[in-house]
Amino acid sequence: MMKQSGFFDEPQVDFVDLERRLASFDAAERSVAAREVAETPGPEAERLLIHAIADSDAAVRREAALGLEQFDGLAPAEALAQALLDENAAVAEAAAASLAELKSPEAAPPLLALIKHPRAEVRIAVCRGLRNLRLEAAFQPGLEALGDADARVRREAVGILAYLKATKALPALVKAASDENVEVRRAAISALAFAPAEASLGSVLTCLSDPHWLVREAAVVLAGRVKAEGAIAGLINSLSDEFWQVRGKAALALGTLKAVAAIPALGNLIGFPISNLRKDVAAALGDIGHPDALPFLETAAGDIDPDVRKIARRSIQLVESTRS
Amino acid sequence: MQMAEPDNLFETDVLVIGGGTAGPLAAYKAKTANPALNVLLLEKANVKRSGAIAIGMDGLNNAVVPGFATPEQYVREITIANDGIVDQKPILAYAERSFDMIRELDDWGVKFLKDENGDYDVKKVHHLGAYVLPMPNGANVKKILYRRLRQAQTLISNRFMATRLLRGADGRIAGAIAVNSRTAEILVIRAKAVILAMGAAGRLGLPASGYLWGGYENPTNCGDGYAMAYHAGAELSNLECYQINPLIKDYNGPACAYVGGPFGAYTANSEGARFIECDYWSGQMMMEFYRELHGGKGPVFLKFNHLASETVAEIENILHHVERPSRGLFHAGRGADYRRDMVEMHISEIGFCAGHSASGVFVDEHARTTVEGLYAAGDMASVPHNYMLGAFVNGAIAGEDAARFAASAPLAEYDAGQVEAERLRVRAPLSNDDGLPPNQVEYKIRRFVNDYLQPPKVTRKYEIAQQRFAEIRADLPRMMARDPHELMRALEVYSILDCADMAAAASLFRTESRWGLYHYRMDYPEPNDADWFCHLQLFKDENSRMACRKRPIEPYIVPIDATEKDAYHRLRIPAHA
Amino acid sequence: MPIANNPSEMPVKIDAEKCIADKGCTVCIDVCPLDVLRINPANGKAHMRYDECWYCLPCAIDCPTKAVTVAIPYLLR
Ligand SMILES: Cc1cc2nc3c(=O)[nH]c(=O)nc-3n(C[C@H](O)[C@H](O)[C@H](O)COP(=O)(O)OP(=O)(O)OC[C@H]3O[C@@H](n4cnc5c(N)ncnc54)[C@H](O)[C@@H]3O)c2cc1C
Ligand code: SF4
Ligand code: SF4
Repeated sequence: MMKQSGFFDEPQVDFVDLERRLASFDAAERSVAAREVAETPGPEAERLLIHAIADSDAAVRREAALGLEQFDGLAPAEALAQALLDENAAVAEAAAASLAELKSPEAAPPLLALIKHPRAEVRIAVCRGLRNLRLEAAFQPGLEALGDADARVRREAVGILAYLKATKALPALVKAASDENVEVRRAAISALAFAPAEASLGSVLTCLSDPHWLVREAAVVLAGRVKAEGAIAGLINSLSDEFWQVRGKAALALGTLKAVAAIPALGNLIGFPISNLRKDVAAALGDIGHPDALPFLETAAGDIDPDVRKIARRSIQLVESTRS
Repeated sequence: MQMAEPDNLFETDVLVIGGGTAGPLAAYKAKTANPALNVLLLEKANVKRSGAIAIGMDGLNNAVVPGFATPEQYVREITIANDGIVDQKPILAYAERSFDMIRELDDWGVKFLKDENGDYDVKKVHHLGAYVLPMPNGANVKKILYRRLRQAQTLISNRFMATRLLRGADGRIAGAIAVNSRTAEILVIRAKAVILAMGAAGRLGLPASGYLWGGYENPTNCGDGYAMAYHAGAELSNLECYQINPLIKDYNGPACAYVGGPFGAYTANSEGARFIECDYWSGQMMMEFYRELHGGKGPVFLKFNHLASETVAEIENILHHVERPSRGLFHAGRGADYRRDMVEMHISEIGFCAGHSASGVFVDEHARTTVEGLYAAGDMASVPHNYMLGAFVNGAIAGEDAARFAASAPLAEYDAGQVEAERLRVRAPLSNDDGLPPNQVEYKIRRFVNDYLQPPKVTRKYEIAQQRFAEIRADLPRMMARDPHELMRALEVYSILDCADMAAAASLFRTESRWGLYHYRMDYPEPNDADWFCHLQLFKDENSRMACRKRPIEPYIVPIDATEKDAYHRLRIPAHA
Repeated sequence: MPIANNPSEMPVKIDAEKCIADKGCTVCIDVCPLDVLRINPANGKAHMRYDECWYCLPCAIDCPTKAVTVAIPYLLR
């Protein structure tokens, strides 16, 4: 058999050479070597990267921080947590990205230790990392982070609680659904999807008249997902929201809820100028499955938009099949 | 150029050719199924960033996620979308492993869109079920695969272009021949099992821009896999079912309905009105697109400008960062903004790709071709509408089956004459001091493909094409290469011409129309189920000539009841206002 | 027959000041699927050798010093 070298990207890496280059006096050479190590699996590469993350040159530190994304556990988490505090923004950003890749519970302590760090960017990255770990131990810190002064931290804190899907997180998520920041409210209302309808009904009703359409949209979607009967009147109201996007999602939710009472209001929208909404309305009328919708669906079956026509035909079939 | 060194001979248990999407999974699964085996992954480019998914993908087009769709529902959907011309077993084999593959990739660090509770956020684009799982942060998928391969200690060999397969005296696969694109060194690899994963044939038609490299597919995928399978005696299926896509005009990349669709974007005519029923890519959809484009209401656009600014920002965040991230650059160059302007769309050049349509090397549910020990996976294997996740799953299936096969089979003995003949062919362009530059020959073939093969298909035009292709074939020995890079391009031209010939032969054989625009024959404008509800197999006959035959459709394992098919067709026949 | 050289604009530009190819970096050259980038023997830095570009961007995204600029090839622009 022929020689292998030259043809193959050797799985056996020359760590001695890499270590020598990582110690070069030339920073560019060290960063080139760091990137090579970053592409290499195994504990030896992990050790070299953890070492390189303390290099004097920012480019080297950044390569090392990026490369550590492939490793898990306490040691890389500690190194990355340290790099998160780097005065160079690119290094800190790389560390934040790699921290979000951690999966094992052993990685939690260095993250938890930083959750009250004075820099908001640090707290954000830490929350993001903890969210993915889905750890009971992060519950309390997550709760506290919901009271953070920085809205971006509160938004990530919602993630920690929401990923845990724990009933005891409900009061906090309900509270977050009326946060002063849009993104926090939107995340919190969406996060309530794991809870029974009764638990989120109050939040849904409040958010249905939220000043921002994205929150209103999230609320109507949630009402449909958890089948919130108590929200039907509110959803019918949302059919005249100033954003057609909200109206459309409200229509779909009313369809899921089989809200016969919504048929007249839905019917009013069958001539709406934006066809996306006409399509949602036609779909909802079919899902409700009541013959009162047929006249509207007949109109929709002659729509100029073929997608609306298609959905209308499907809906007519649905109504007819529930009738027989 | 002086190149007299003896061919390098290498032996391995499993050889995987093509390290894009299906290939890495095949190599990884073969090696982890049986770590005692030697597994070699050969790649024309570099596995770190090669193939269709070099910079990730907008999302999974066909994720079968519990709670959103079932494997059986998916099989029904693809059966209907492909006009019933499918073998369901390989589709079901894919669908049943789809979700486990998503979870495995997720575990490796590949990013999929999740909702606030960390569950997969599947979107609906298809006719019946919901299958689209976005990947807004998936740009690093190749890096992750590369690390996995290295961890598993598979051998990786980059910058080697495979050119021909070796057949054993007993009919089994014996290995492959490859040439290095930087040194022109030739490598002869003996293998017990070979997996082809060389992607689509994406350099068949010429893009409207005239730029040879401005195609839809990664241009490394020029059809080598199709040509090699053909020459090795494997059968190919339904090549007349072309790949044709709706793309951003000039840029020639997807816009893409799968990303924008769930956000409310849609394909519109010049009046801003929708004219197709479902943005799911199919031959029928392309036919409607074609008609609108050439009717009075063209050109055709992708319409985002009725969406809220926040929504557009979310769409841009995907379109300008993964898959074809230069989309943002392209729009900026023309001062176009999705918030204000509709994006002009166009019909792509033709290609072969089972991943998007159904044209591929025939495989069964174990990814086996008709040659013993030879497998195919990904875009070049005949599992229809398989896309990226299909490439991963079928690559995995191929890898595992090949590992089993290689564990018991000895290396096949082969005739040295095959190697000698191939060495002569491969080296010829380097020894020509003057002659035809490969780019000119390629341009000419691809222009003829556009002139004569692009649907609608006309018999007489196809016959002229065959004549022109034969003339060009006679020119091929005159191609010259000044360096190993140009040599690679010259050898690619052979594959392109082979594919052009196969496209013509298969299309002429099926005397009916099917799959919407993909196989719309003007002389036979209607589908003819009585004679043509079957596959078309293309192969090299005993006299080394290109031949076609019909192959019956395997009995369905997921029955399509008449009402369902009916309902679907009723949905598709537009009831005009 | 003699071969003509038809000029075309190279879509990829590499900032020689930023490029650290002389320190052993070959990232862009490695990741280019079309294999069109090389070390320029004149200055030891990376450059584009063949106008065959899929404007796919791995070269620019992976370059550690952000030395690579990709333009959409003129015929498509
Ligand atoms: C622009 C674009 C957008 C897409 N969007 C989506 C999407 O959003 N969702 C989705 O699910 N799917 C999408 N797809 C489809 C999906 O990406 C493909 O189906 C899938 O990646 C194909 O995998 P493959 O392994 O068959 O081919 P590839 O990943 O292309 O790999 C083929 C490999 O073979 C190598 N090769 C070629 N010839 C040779 C040779 N002679 N010797 C050695 N190696 C060779 C190539 O260099 C390449 O690396 C898209 C495809 C494209 C092109
Ligand atoms: S990746 Fe950047 S630094 Fe490295 S060789 Fe290329 S241009 Fe130079
Ligand atoms: S954009 Fe793609 S094809 Fe062009 S030089 Fe960069 S990596 Fe190569």
